[in-house]
Amino acid sequence: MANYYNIDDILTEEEFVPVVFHKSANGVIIDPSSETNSVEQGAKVELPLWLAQELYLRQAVSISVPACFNQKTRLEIQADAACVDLKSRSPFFYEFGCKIVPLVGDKTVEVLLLSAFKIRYKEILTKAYTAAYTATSQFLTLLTKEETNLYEAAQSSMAAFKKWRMGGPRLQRASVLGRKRKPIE
Amino acid sequence: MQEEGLEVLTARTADHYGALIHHLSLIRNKRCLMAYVYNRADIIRDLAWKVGLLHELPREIQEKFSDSEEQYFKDHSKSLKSYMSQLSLNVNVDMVPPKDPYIKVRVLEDLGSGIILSDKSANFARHSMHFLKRTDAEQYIARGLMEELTS
Repeated sequence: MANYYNIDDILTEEEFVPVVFHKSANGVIIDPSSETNSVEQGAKVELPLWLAQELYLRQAVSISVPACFNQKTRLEIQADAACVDLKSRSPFFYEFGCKIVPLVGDKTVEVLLLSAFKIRYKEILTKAYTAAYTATSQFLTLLTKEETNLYEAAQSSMAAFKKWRMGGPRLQRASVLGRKRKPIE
Repeated sequence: MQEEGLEVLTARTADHYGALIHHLSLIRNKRCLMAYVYNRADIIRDLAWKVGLLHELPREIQEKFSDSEEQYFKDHSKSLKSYMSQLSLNVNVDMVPPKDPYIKVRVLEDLGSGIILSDKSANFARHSMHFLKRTDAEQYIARGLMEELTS
């Protein structure tokens, strides 16, 4: 139940996966280019993960490996995992992969995710602790949401340590007020 | 009866799956809306706890509340206040015991004169510096109306 309200989880399930329908469905417009508002048996469509997961449980579709885990990505990760732009493929790369694994009969996805994450995690930690702002801004655009959270946690713990060491102002403006909001005209 | 039940199961037509997809979409929309309202309520609770119970929130934040959210904020602040008064303990303040019960502050916004604090009444004009008790100053600092001077 902790995931029901979690926004990151909702966004993860919005990612598209390619499916093949086993049964036909009437009265729904899934494929925007088809003339009739129904899906035929054996049609190949891109569905969001939440829909694909439910239909898979009811044995109406079969799911194949999504585009972001294709051969091109695998080769890039094997070459150099730290420089691959995972955010452009999907900002929820790892969670998405974790959800896909029980639905698709492909064992290599887990190995791929694990190896990529191991290498990138090391990079994240080293960059977070030795922050030179010019170089890291380009690195940050490559990170998925999960990795960005790790990075920010590392940076905030570093800042807190420095503050404790140096002794800054103890009482501060509440962080929840921090963002500037535009007043309604 | 059981054969009829079995027949219904095997007679799933295309309409059944179409209706199923509609139903799943509705459930999905419901989940998105619920998560939105839940996360907003979370932020409101955070505001009530940190910024000050029943104090005036900044105008930009206050005008973005819906009516039920305003009510939620007031009710939450009221229950926190009654809890603290029953314990006769202020759980809102900084948890670390300070070295010095008094603190030097500079006022950032014009608060008007004659504000009554726990041991004196003070006149908070803009850019004036005061030597206040820590617990008093804390609520003003949290709302961004004063800042601490650590010279």
